[in-house]
Amino acid sequence: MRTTDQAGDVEGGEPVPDDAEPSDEAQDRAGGATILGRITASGFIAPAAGLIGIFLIFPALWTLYLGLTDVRLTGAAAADPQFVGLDNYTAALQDSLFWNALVVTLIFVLGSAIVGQTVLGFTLAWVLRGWRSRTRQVIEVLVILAWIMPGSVVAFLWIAFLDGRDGTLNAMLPFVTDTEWLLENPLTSIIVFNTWRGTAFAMLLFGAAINSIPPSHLETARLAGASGWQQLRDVVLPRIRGHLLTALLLLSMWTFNLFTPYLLTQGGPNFETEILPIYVFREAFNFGRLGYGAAISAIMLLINLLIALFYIHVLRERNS
Amino acid sequence: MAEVRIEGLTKRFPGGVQAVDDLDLDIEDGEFFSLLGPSGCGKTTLLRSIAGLETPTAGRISIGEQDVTRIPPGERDVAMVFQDYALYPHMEVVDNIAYPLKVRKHSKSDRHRRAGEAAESLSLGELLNRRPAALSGGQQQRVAVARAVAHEPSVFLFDEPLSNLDARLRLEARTFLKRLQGDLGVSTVYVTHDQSEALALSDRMAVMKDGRIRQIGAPEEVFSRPTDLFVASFIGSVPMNLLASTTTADGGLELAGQRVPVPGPYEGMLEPNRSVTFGARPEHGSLTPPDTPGAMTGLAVVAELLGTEHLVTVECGDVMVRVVTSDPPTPGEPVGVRFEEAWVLLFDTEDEQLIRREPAAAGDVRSTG
Ligand SMILES: Nc1ncnc2c1ncn2[C@@H]1O[C@H](COP(=O)(O)OP(=O)(O)OP(=O)(O)O)[C@@H](O)[C@H]1O
Ligand SMILES: [Mg+2]
Repeated sequence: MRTTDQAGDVEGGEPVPDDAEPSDEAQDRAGGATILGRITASGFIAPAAGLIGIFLIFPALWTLYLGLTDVRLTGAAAADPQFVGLDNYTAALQDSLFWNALVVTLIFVLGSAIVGQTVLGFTLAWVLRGWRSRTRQVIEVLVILAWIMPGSVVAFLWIAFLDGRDGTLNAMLPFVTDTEWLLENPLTSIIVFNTWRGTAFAMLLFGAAINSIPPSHLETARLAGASGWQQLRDVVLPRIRGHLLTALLLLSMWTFNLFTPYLLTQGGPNFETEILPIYVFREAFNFGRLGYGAAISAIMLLINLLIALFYIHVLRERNS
Repeated sequence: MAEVRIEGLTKRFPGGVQAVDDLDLDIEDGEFFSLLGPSGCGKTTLLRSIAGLETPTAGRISIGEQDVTRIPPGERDVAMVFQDYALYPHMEVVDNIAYPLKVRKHSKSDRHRRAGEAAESLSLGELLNRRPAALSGGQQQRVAVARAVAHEPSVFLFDEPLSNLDARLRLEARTFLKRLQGDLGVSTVYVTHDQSEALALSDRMAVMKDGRIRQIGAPEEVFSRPTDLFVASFIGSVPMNLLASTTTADGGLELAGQRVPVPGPYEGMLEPNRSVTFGARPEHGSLTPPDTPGAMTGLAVVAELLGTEHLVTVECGDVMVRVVTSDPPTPGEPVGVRFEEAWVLLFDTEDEQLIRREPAAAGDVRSTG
């Protein structure tokens, strides 16, 4: 929470309120201690602020604008888009595929970010905490490898792994099968895929959080006779709640915006894995409806904001 | 309440550090026992082994009648107070104190009643609903002790519980700890590297070095009759004078180029020409006029105020001798120094052991006093 505030301060720090100026000048005159004058400081910040403006704020505003038009990828509406007001938004709310995408996305986030990465990552971190450092290092390196590999490479590994006829998974299974996993269990497949990909990060995060607890706290509980579960409930979780919520926030937002599952299933079969980013992609680039895609993107932006606000709210409430 | 028996305990850490080395120790029921030694000598490791937080490489530990060597910490019925107190920041004081009872599934009202009693005995009654962050260091320390008390264990283990307090608070805390332990009568193992704490608190104490016990005994005994040079140099807020000397053919001692008589208790025990170390506490010395027979003569160099008395350093030839006196000479003045013979100790310079009338038996160092 505090970091968010500080971040806010930094961003808001550039257009300084006028009434702050005299005191600063007084300080300059009095001590001559300020090395950078206000103008020089602004000069240093300007490039970064400019880049943020060009690459983050402008596209976001541009997307909002496009969402209010009927601009298309090609054709007449590409050259001369018309302002259509909220038409795109009402259309989205009436499109059953939009609702399908929303539901699939929520299941995907719940399954892979919350249950998968967070729960599995935390469990791994907790179980590995007492292990000898060597074994742990090896496991950590392996898990991190899974994380730093490029998404496209991993996607093809998983296609090979899940393939029906020559797939590694079917070969490993003790019974003979030629299940086409990506066709028969597509949503489960991409959930497992994304869990596999993101658990490393979660594990490292939680491992660091668990390590921040002084050993004497856990040892006091052990001496009182607390079981592993009691130690977790009474000592560990209350203490790393902040880390936990921050990680949940990051992992859910990243997963919510993830496009990589497209490489595995292209949203199919029959839209079963069409998460919102894929839906946007299909509408905007396959069907050329850029304006509509932009409107959906704006909705996604809104949902991201809601997720963030929810976590921040919980975090603030629990902290006080 | 129970005695603690340790037999042949060895702890070797991965990486080869031998923190505890084939150590035997008996702590009696209801006793306040201190472990004293320099940093890294294995005190904490020994304490944690008793608690079950370290697995011994070899040896046995029993508490009461029970061999606990392979028993997990939670079933040993011991309570430990850590140097950092280990209070849970998210719990109020009362819940911190009651935590061991919560683990054992006492009802909430029972927990709070007993936590209240423990808190009362440590004058924490007013603070029950505060969070640890809102307490002073001394209060936090008492909460940690109260938690151990509420646990009602058969053994208390303390690992330098007072080292985070300032000097005055430490004195206060020392007094209440001693009284509390006396009232409860629970066997207590107390680790410290502050010798004044060990001397003040203990029924018996052990001085450790390099994972071994050098001497066990009552504090007075360890203070006045250290059995080897290490203990002699380690104990005492003003270090003991330890001076190289040689016995002479006519039954005297040559000390800093001067001749002094062999102290009474050692008369007739020493063959001529033996290298011995002359040990005497500054508190047992006195100043005489220069060239008094039987005293060493030298020049007073500095006088430091200790409070009511002065510590005077006298340069005799090339050695420095220190004496506590209430009547300090002016620096530069020639003075004589004499030590009360009854308190003087002679150590064999070779094996660093105290010279005694009968040769020390092999197991003597570990004798339980
Ligand atoms: N977990 C560990 N792994 C490896 N070596 C250790 C470990 N814990 C302690 N040691 C080593 O064992 C020796 C004894 O350590 P211990 O903590 O028992 O000393 P101590 O007497 O308590 O010292 P101090 O007064 O500084 O607390 C030290 O050399 C220390 O470096
Ligand atoms: Mg220690």
